[in-house]
Amino acid sequence: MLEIVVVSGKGGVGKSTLASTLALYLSMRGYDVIAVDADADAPNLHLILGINRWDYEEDYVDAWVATIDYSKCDSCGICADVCPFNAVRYVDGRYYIDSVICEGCLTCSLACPRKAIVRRREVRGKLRLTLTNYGFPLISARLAVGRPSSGRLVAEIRSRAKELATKDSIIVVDSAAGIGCQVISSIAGSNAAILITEPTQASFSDLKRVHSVVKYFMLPSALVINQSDINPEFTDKILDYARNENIDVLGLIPYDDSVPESITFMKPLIHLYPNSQAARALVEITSKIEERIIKSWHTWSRRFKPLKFIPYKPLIIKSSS
Amino acid sequence: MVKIAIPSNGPGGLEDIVASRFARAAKFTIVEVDEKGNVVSVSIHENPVQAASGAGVKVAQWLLNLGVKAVAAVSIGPNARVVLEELGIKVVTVPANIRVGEALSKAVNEVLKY
Amino acid sequence: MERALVLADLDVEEPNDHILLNTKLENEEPVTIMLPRIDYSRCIKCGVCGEVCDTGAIVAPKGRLPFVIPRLCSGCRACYFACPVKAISEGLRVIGHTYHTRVKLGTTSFDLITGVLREGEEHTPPVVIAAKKRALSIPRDLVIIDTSAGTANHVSIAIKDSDIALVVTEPTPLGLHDLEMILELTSTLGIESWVLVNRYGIGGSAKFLDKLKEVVSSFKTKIVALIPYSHEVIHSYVKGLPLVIMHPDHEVSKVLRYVSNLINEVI
Repeated sequence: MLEIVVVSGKGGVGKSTLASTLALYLSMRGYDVIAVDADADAPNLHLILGINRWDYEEDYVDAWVATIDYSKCDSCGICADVCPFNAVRYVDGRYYIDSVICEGCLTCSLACPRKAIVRRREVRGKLRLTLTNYGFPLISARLAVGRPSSGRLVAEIRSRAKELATKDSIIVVDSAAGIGCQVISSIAGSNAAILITEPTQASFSDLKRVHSVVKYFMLPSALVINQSDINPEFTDKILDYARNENIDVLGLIPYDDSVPESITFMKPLIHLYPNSQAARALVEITSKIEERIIKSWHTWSRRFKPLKFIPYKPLIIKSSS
Repeated sequence: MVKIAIPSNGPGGLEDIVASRFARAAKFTIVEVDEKGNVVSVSIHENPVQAASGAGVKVAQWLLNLGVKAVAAVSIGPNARVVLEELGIKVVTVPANIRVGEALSKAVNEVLKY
Repeated sequence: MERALVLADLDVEEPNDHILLNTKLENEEPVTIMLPRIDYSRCIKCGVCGEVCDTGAIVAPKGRLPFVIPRLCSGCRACYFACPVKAISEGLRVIGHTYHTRVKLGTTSFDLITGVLREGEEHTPPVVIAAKKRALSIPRDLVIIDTSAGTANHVSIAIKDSDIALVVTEPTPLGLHDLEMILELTSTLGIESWVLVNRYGIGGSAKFLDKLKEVVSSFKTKIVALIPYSHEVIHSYVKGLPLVIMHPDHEVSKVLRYVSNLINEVI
């Protein structure tokens, strides 16, 4: 079984297009594929695949929220002082815990001198699964708006995918944008990372940040540059970076209006416009993924592992005394 | 008596294939061996840890609570590695795609050396 | 008329505004969270600190001395409150930084506050909170908050207590889907929303615009402008110069000026 995660750091650079094409291509080539949309706060993979119904849905309840028992509360305000997330407000003589922001840690309940705060479970989103018409299942999740911890939800759907997987399965994970816990949760414990970026200053800066997280978890990685022709000088700069960082360059995708059009029609690009430049570039890239990463996994993973393990160095400021 | 834990993603047991990552493996097969390396008992446990991060840390603690003295794994994440070391649980590195039983043999060899 | 403006880049995982404005960040200040420091002479090895830790940052097997894994610690202080012998004191750990940069563009200038999460850190909200606090401490007529994408708490914390939300979407299935989520958030938080439809003119725009309008009216809010799709926008983005400076007479620049006039009227 192999788990491949697609990351970019920046949003909107083609993660979902690449992840969906990879899942489709491998499935057409006869692999047992499971697709995971690990962007729980703005899930889009099902839209790119043209899915509009779910075969299975489940409430996600592995989340806590703190609540005040007003029969015991004496409005001392200690909860508001200690809350690390500013989730407690004082309104008209009473303290309220904002259930949208509250992360359900135990701090206020432990600090409360009246033991007036308890944690309760909260439905914080949904997990869902559908058996796509393309021959593979898609597992997705949707976090309730404004809430914390989509990282835990991501961990949950990845483990559901592993439950469905056999030893020959390929799990394709479409991660969220960013580098925080929701992305770390997609990267930690995965087998390989495919980095996708655009040749702009902002995208490249974002890419380097997410790559440093990939390196910390020692994943071998590969690179795709999307819309590579909008700024050829920058594309070269990114290719230099890849060389220096021992990242396997898979290919370049040119700017192509067929891509947004296929999204509008909610049909996979390689089915709708198979002869477009972008589709052909994507097929070349996914076939390289098959040849290099899947068929030659041991050679490839040893060759493109990060050069050395850089342990995370916390910046600790010692308090006085 | 020494307890050795081996992660896998299938049904568990000696015939299953070793998982390539440690902390998020679906199952742990815990094998008790005597001083001669003979298998005394085999039990299969579901990995109880579901965490966005720090899964390896929690798995290590769980294994410690079960009395595990050594782990056979293909690769271990940075957090779990630190914790296992601190907790005095030996880590034996094994190649990928071998059977749990094979991984066990390699681990037994390492553990009984000392 | 010159207004004192603060731009707060609260996309602390991937901050881009300083890059788009071609400016180096200045006046760095650390963002710290609590890190437990264990006094081993007092510790009774009860294991409670490890039990209450949500993130697995304290490893505390019963009967053994606990130890801390700093990267995993969210600074919540549950361990500090739970320890029955007060063996845990508060150290500090830096998880990111905020910056205050004075930006000059043409004849105008404004203050840019940027939050940056340290790479490898899990916990975004404390950096968003610190950067927002720094932005709001600057005397100003207007603060514009730039958030990350999505609808999770790094966004809700950033936009909480705002007067207006400029919700940017596009006339595509992705734009439509995400618009519903973000309007749900802004209406939960009680923030008036103005919707801007970006990249109008790409294939299927007319059909999706109708759908966007349906969603917008179901949330009792309005579309204030359509920003036409244009290659020049990409071009200016690639070149690193704001469009309104590079092509001030471009139709997109005109729309942006129109929107800023609307905001001026509200102030």
